[in-house]
Amino acid sequence: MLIAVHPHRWLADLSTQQEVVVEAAARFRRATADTRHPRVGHAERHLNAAQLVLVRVAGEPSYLGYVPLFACWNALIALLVGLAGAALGAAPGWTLAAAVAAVVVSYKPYQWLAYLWVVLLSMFRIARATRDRPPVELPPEPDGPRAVAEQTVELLLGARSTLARLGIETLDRHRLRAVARRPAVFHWLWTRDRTLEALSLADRHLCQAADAITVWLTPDEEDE
Amino acid sequence: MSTPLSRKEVRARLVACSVRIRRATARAQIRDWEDGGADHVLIARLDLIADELSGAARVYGPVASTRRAKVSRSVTIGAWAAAGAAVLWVAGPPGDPVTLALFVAGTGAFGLLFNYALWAVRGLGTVRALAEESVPMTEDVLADLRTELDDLEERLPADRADLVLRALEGAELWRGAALEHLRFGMPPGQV
Repeated sequence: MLIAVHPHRWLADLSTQQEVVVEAAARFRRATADTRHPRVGHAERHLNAAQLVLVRVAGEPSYLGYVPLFACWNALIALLVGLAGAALGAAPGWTLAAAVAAVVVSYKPYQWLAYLWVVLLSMFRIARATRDRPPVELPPEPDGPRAVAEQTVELLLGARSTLARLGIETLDRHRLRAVARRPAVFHWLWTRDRTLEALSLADRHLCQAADAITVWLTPDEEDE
Repeated sequence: MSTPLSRKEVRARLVACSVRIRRATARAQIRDWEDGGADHVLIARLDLIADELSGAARVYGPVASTRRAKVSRSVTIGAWAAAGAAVLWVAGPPGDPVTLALFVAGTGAFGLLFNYALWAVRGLGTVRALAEESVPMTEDVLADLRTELDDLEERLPADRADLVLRALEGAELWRGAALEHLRFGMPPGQV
């Protein structure tokens, strides 16, 4: 299937967590703007990565979905080169060679366009699913970097528990649901099912960010 | 003195270590998801170890180019090329853009079907095998990793060894932190 289908509530919950993570990351960045610490930098990198992944979760096609997308792109490129060859009056052999070369060279632009398509589709679906939803309410921002950092960890862990539920729901809807929760199969699905891959990756980024902030907050115990 | 390994051997062993840790991470993550996302620390530390290991492997070349991926890609491209060559042999080169588009779409459709068939045959077999496979306990994976890292540190090639050593030290540090969390941070045997 070209596009993976998700229930409305799943999309709405996902969007709430996107907003929570974006706001938590913004608060953490503001509060630690003057802090130079490797764990703070590490947390920020993973918060940014988590945001980037969460933006595209809802638009990810299934694993096999990328194949027809790639085939359509190649056919389009070949058609354009063919039209150009016919307009210029080039020999068919040369036109064919140029089409093959254009298909090879256009792989990188294809990757960018596919990424853009996934993000736009994700944003469209999220916007449609959250049309009637009230804005997400977050606790007020506390004073001082440590208090903000503690609140960031709380918000991230809250977001994680929702992502965990969404992940389990995705696994339960999966066509391999009978075995999808077994660790070896789940790991295999990371590289096959784009929605699960993105959910799992975003969750791991949040884990790393929360752990890095916790380590920073308790330097005597674990900071190296 | 142990025999130094080649860059390729080091990369392969680091990739294998990284995959074992990623599988342990998958185990920790699925258990954690089932528990409602209560323990992020183990996942974070296992993920850090795997990041360090794949970072170290990348010093000696791209880690995605494993033999299996190369074979799979070559077989698929070979099928597309063979289909294209067969059509060209029978019908000659396409003379106009419409025929060219049909030619590309036809060979593309064949490649697509071939890809799906290959995925179905290989994927279903893989899933069946994986479903029966048990991922070792995380403590055992981490203990084995220690042995592997010690051996690798002794047998690294001189070329860019400092970069790899730094990553291996990072992996060792987080291996200790993950073990510590496993032993003292949560009930034993849960993960």
